[in-house]
Amino acid sequence: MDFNQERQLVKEAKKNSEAFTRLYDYYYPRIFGYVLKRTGDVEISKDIVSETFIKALKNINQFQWRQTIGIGPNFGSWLYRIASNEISNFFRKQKPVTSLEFISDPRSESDLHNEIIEAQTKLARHEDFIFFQKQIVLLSLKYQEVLVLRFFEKKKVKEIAEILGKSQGTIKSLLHRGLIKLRKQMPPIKD
Amino acid sequence: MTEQDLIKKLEQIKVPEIELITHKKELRTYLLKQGFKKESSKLGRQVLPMGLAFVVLLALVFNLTNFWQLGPAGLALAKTIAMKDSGFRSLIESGAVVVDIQMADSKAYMLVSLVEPLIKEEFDSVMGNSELLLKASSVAEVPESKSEFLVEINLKDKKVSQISEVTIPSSPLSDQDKEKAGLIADIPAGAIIQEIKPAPPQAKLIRKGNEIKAEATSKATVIYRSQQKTWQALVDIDKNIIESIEFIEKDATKD
Repeated sequence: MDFNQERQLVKEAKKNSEAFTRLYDYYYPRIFGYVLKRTGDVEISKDIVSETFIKALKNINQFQWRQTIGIGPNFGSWLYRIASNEISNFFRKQKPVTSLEFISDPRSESDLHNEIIEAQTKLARHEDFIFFQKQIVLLSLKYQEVLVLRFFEKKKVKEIAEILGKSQGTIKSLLHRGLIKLRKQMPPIKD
Repeated sequence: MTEQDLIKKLEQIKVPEIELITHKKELRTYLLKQGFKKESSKLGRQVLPMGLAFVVLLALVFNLTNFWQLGPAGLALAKTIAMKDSGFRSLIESGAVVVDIQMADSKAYMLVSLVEPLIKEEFDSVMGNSELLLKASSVAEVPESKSEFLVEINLKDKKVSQISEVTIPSSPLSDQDKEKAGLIADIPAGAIIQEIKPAPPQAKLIRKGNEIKAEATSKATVIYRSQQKTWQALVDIDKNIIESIEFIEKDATKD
């Protein structure tokens, strides 16, 4: 989806929920992937992703493209920002973010349960990822988000700055300090 | 390990690509439903002030025009005039019902619907003696789709000026309409949708400027199984509302 297509869809989504679901279809895997890389838990990610999209739908009329130097924050960055805030809420409260509004349909509960088990098994196979994720999660939230966005989500510094609403200089500094802290706390790695 | 080694290691990590299809589908449905609710309430907020303004305007107009043109007195007068017409009376006596009524200028328009379609002989016997019936080609044949009648009543001349047949075609539902109908039906948890089909064709009166026209409504019937029973919900796709829900069949395995 290019910038103009996305912009048009967002405009339509403010009036029409079907346009919103088209944006949802495109962004669900990305946001789910990001949340999973931050939390390392499929079940918690599921709840955080639900909250993210419910909040996005409720607040879509407040979303505005900021015409700063060339490119403003896109819709995706806005979603990542909502997801980041939800993840921060989760880590601060240390309790599941179960939406009171969105409750799973009992018809598909068993399908979903099996899917979660399957996903956790699949996740456990990524040993290297699990190892680093568990180390990153021990850092402060401000380092966690920049490191995950940079190394697991492969975002550029400019994109991270847009998502977190910080300057590129701040992001570079956070990345640098985050890596130093991560290196210090890491147990020795066998090559 | 140096910082460069750590960066290299982090950059080389194979990250998991996992998606929860069931969750994605459920959340999508929920968001779509919430979106429809949001749109309906927004529309309500827009329509309410307009409605109040209309009532005020109506009150002003009521004092300035002949009172029989609008309001219950006008409706009662229209009904009295219509019942004096043999064609209209035959329709009502054969089981037809007035489903909608509108006023425009000094005329009243009634939409009359036959509960059961008439066979040709009955149709001819009912309508054959009315000089006012328009002899359109669709009128002379047994109607295949549902037929309703638009009765025009001239309140000034105090007579039925025209009775015309309106053929309401049954139009198929698009996939989008079906999805929307399913969401509007708001079926209970655990229920399974068996079929979504167009509702029997039905018309409503629409005001276009000074003209009143009969147009087909956009409705669907959602049939679903819940608690070992089959239910049928009639939903209005345009208005986003459930019009009726009825139980149509008990569990065939019981009794």
